[in-house]
Amino acid sequence: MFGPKIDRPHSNIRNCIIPHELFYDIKNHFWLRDEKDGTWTIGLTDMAQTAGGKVLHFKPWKRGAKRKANKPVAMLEAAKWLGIIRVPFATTIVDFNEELLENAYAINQYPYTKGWIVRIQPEDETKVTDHFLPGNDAAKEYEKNFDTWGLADCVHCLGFEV
Amino acid sequence: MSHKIHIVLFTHPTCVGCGESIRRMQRLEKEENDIDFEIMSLAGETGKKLGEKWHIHSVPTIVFDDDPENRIMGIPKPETIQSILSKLRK
Repeated sequence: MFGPKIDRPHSNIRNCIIPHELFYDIKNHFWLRDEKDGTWTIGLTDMAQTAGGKVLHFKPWKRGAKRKANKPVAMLEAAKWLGIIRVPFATTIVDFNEELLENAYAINQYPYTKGWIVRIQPEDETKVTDHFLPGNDAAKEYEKNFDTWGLADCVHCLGFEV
Repeated sequence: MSHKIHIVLFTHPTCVGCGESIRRMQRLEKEENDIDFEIMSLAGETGKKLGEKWHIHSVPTIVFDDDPENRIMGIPKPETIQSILSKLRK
């Protein structure tokens, strides 16, 4: 048997797992994790990996690249979706997940862990949490708008982990 | 006329193990003459409706004889399939 097992606070909405410790861009379906060293890690949500289908390619920017507000910080191509991740503030690309260059499917299998995408360092004065919703609030919004936003119940493939 | 065992394999565009599952089930369909095999995607309307009814949220999942209690989750092992088929043929 397999299926998502999660031992930390989270919501489960229509089989979509939403860990509470992360922050969310609920319009573009990505998450951010505070690394507590001035950097933030970004990845796709369970909703995004379901809606997009199998992630095929990942195009990162070079480490150290400076990105202006609303410019892409990562590009992804999935079976049903071409995705660009943007953040609404100027930032530097600190790191990206090299494993995705060989196996972008890790985003589908481990969207909140090994399938992380990029790590950014926002400019000093940026208060990142002003721009994104904490897990609890994001879960409420997803629950309220699930159908309106045209989301589908999440589907987890063999080996899915959270 | 003998009873055919209806088998539904649920897939989804996110699924990597589904291709292998389909191949295994298609081989089985050729070998066994009392099987009625069908593939449904949870991304399609029909598959989605049936998946909701049977509470299928993981792929690949195979349901035997329209009874979600008789299911295999993951790539099916031949011995597991045979064990379920034997039970259903009794």
